Amino acid sequence: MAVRNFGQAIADGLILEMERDPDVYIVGEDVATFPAFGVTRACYERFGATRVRDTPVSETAIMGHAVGAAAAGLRPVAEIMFMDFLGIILDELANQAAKMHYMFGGTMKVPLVVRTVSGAGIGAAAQHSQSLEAWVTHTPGLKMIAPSTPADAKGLIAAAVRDDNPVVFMEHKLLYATEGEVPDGEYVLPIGKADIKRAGSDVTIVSWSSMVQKSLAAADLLAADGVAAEVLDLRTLVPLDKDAILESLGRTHRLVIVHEAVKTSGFGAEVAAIVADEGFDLLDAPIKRVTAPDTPVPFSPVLEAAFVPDAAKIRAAVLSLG
Amino acid sequence: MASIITMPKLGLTMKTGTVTHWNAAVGDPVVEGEVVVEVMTEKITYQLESPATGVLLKVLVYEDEEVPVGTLIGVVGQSGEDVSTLLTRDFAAEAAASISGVAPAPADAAAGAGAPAAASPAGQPSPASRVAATPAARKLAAEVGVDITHLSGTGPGGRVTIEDVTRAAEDVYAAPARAAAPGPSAAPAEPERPVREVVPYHGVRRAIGERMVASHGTSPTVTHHVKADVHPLLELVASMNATRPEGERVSVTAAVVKAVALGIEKTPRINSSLHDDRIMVWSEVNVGVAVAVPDGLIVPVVRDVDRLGVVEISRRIKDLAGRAREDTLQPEEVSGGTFTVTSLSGFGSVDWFSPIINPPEAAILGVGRVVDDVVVVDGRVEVRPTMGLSLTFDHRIIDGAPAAEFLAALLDCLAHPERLAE
Repeated sequence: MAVRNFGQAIADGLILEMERDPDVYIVGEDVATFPAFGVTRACYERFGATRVRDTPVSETAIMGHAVGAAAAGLRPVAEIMFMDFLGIILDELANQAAKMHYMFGGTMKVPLVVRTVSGAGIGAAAQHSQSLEAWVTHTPGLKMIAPSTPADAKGLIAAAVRDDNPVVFMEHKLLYATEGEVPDGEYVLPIGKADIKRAGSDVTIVSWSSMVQKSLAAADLLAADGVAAEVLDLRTLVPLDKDAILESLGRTHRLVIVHEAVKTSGFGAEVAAIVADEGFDLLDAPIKRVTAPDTPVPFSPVLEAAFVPDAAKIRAAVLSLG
Repeated sequence: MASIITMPKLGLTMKTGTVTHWNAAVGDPVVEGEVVVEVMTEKITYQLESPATGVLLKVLVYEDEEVPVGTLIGVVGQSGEDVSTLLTRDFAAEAAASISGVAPAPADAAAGAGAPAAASPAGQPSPASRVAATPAARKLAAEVGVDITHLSGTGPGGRVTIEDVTRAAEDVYAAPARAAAPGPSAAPAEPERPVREVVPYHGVRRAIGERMVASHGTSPTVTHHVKADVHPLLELVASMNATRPEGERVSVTAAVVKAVALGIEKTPRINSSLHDDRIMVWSEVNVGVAVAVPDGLIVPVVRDVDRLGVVEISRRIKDLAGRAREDTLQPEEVSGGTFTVTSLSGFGSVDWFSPIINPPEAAILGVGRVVDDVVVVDGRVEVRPTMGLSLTFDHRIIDGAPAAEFLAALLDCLAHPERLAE
């Protein structure tokens, strides 16, 4: 075990996969010479410009290239510098990559990873701060991964590379600097397994990505209130670990869902609907969602801070169930 | 190393608690597991045990003080130990960690008070769908047979929760009578009149209130009244007491309790409880005797009265009633009753009344005053001491005829009391 930050852990995982499989390579804007968040620099230093390829500033080109390469048998890891640019690549991703396996009767595989950066918190304004995981989860054929810790990031990027389906890998920009113990060497986590980040008996807080960290901070506050909160990190949204949610709820009987994305049609609504359907008799209180409001992410630092859910809001939601 | 005692959190909704009684004073030796302090929530009284063996070094919260959950209320340690650092810590803020410092033992000062249970075994059709309850509470209620229509919810939006159902189920099935979920009742507007005294409606008082409502709302009752000629009974009691010293005299109430046991022998159905879809007719005859205590009543139970003589019954009633007034009864002494006798005889002002059944029992006997009255004996008018008797029974499981039969057996015992002295 070594202490690594979130970005380093992803690079570690990518390097191991590139060593293991010569078909794995990285493609994107500035991934080689000047990575925006620094993640792939170590990959470039290790493997050079052939397997860590800079592209023109055209997300359409990146994705068109990557989908074609994956369909032809390579295993590209494409970087889309901000998740907000999903709109530019949506046809390649949602209409081509996601559907090929089905439309060609299972004869085609598209082993593609799209690494992309989400989230508010650095004053990057409305077009560079969104959390758009629900755009991805609403398209069958795509897997959606959103880790919250360096160890999970390492284990899940490896799993994403090895998966034969197109996978979107969401990295919250505020997580890059967070540090944690990461297993050395090859480390692969299963896709579709949630993880209890903190055990508790009074309420289940379901979240993913950076909101797991906010939920853990809220759980600390709640402990002082005498409330033992369980924090369940979904880690992957598609496929979803429904059993883990229902199992936890079976013990706590109260559910709060936390995500940074806006509320309406957010993935929290999907979790709430599943629980209302399959876990109705487990509920001892209404389901609460703590999310951003239904607005673009504000540029004003004061408003941006008010926009993003924090520990105090999560605590208040939990206490409203008592 | 000193050990702390903090106000425990006894449920998600509990925010504060009140210290009601310290069993030890500062400087007293205490033993781990010994009850050192009693605290009261809005629902129940709990006894807290000492977390260690040593000396009660500090008392930080005194009787009748209400404090937030987690607050340090006492410290146990070795004599002379310096605990100053403990006293500067904010335990309420560290509540989750500090709660484990003490083992709460449910004790229930409210036990035996009035009738238990804000719930009845399910079985009657009820408009459950109109009661606000969580899905999990509904499912649990169906499983354990609790009728949620009689519960007041303590959950968000006043919903009935798992906790409310659990408490009600305990009340119904685990005889030790426990307070029903009091829940936030709609507060009526404060009257704009001079107030002489404000009496808090909480703790035991509230428990009695909730149980009375629950009992009254659950069982359809009928009360039979009769006037008994107790001349033979009083003669017998007087003769038994003639040779007894003041402290060992047999009471009339004890004789009535023994007569109840003989009546039950003839009509066992009186000694029963309704549990879900079964009527349980009990083997034991355990008679509760209601005792008035300051601002309330407690019903200690005399067990196996069918196997005891009237002298022993009298001695036990006296002991239990004395300790009820001192508030030193044990939980098992106020639970497990199968029938209750309640007497207003001592006031000399009541002949008959309509007592409320103490669930899950099926009947209760009210004893009125003993007063000289005109009775006909063998065709002659005579003045005799008489006693008013009122039998309230649950018509779901006891019909009028067997209740009348029971009273006839009781009257027969009173008319031929020599059997009581056997």
